[in-house]
Amino acid sequence: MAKQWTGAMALAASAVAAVAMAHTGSTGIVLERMKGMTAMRDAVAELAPMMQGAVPYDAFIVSEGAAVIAGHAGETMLSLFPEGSLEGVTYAKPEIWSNWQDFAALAEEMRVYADALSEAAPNGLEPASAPPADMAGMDHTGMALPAAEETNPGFSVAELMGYAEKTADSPVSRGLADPASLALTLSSLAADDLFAKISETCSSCHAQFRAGRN
Amino acid sequence: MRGLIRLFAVFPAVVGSVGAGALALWPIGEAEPRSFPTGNAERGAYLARSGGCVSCHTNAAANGPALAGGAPLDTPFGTFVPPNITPHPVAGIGRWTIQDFARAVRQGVSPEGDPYYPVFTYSFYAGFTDQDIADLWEAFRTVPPVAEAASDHDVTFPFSFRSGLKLWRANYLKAPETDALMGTSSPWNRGRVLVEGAAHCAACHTGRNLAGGLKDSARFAGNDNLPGGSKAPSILVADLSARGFTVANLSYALQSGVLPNGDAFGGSMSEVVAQGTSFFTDADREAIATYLLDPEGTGLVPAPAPLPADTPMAGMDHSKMDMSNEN
Repeated sequence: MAKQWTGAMALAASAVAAVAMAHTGSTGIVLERMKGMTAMRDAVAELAPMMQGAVPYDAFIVSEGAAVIAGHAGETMLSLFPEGSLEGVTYAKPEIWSNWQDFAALAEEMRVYADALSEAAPNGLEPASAPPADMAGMDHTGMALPAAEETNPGFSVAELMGYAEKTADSPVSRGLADPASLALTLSSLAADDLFAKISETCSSCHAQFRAGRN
Repeated sequence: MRGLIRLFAVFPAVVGSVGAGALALWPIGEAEPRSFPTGNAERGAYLARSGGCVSCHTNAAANGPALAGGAPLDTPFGTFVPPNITPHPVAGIGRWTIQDFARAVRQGVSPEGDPYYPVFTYSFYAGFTDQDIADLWEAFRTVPPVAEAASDHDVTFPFSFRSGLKLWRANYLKAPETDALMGTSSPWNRGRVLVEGAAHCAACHTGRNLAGGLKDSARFAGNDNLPGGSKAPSILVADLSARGFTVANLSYALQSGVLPNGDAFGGSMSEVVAQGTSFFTDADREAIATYLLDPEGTGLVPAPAPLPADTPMAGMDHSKMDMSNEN
């Protein structure tokens, strides 16, 4: 039922896209990759509320959504970025090709994480941690409460000051050198942790390789 | 060398001006307390992270060491390089006293009495308490010293004439309003402290006039001319609601970078999340969202606009493109 509805929406969306295309000037391979990005965006939009606990978690939908993301990442994504394909309306930055290794690594990272999420969807969400101290409720004019009550127990002084790596960050680049063991490790993670890695990868790639309005 | 350049290029230009001489002599800054309370490094580190000290003074993109100098910022006034603020005695701030540090952070005045350029967002830190300063100081003392100084700023005349900044200070420098309001919730008040103070949202999301002063009339209405060509969208409540933001999903965006429509932040905002708000407590992110979505403190957050389900990126009218590419 939900799937049919999604399918119908997708059809309608493509129709809108086809009409609008003439006005925006995105054609050919640029349009193809925009469609891929849009499909990933829509999958993320569908999964995000589940990852926040705002709607009930559904392992099947998570797995399917992650598979959609994976299907548009990695080699599939790279094949839509032939060197210098900047014609018409595009958000791609030329840095993609001058920095191809990084771009390719991010595309592959995305695929690895999304595949892992597709597999790890039944793991569900990380159990909620103890409710944080009510920092927001404190009297900020004094601001002299003991640190334990108001700072994030997740981060050390060294992490906050930036001279130690954030514990949440996994050494992806090193991990990718041994894809088999990385995949195994990843698929044991909670779904929301993997989803966080996916969104970090999106942001990181957008920051480096997506241009602003032009 | 910089001194020489200043002497040759600037001095002849200003020597005829009595005003310039007066500016150079005009003393700025107020005395800081002789003693500060005992600092707490954990609190200070959280404040250094939420205030953006760490992200601005660390060149993460170049894998630079923490707080040893940030990525250069290209602005209409020139290129600014956030300096090394590790405790190295020569290259950093190792010889500073806590009073020097306090004056730099909350007054924007160097130990030599020179005004800092407002690219250093000290005006937002003007409300920091003595305890805040002491905590920050403790945290900074834990940082490994780095012996290499950051490059100098590359700023052209007249902006290279630092004393001119005193005029800027007289016109535009004012402490943020972070006082608690009667009848508002605790998260709202905490959000106000963060948004208006340490987290300095307005530094990017409010436009600036030709002199680089924040345009009060366009508060939070966005800024298309950020350093490096990035753009900050409006974060006025109506615009946030129109983009589908709620307290819950705005907090989530600050944690994850994921927007209500499934897009992910790019540009400077992805850095703000990665290097800043992703370190915040959930309570603080919620506080920020609570304040931004209810800036008047009415207790009411408007319902978000439904997200258009059928506007794929490729089909959108680009002239009305969502914020996705501009943050």
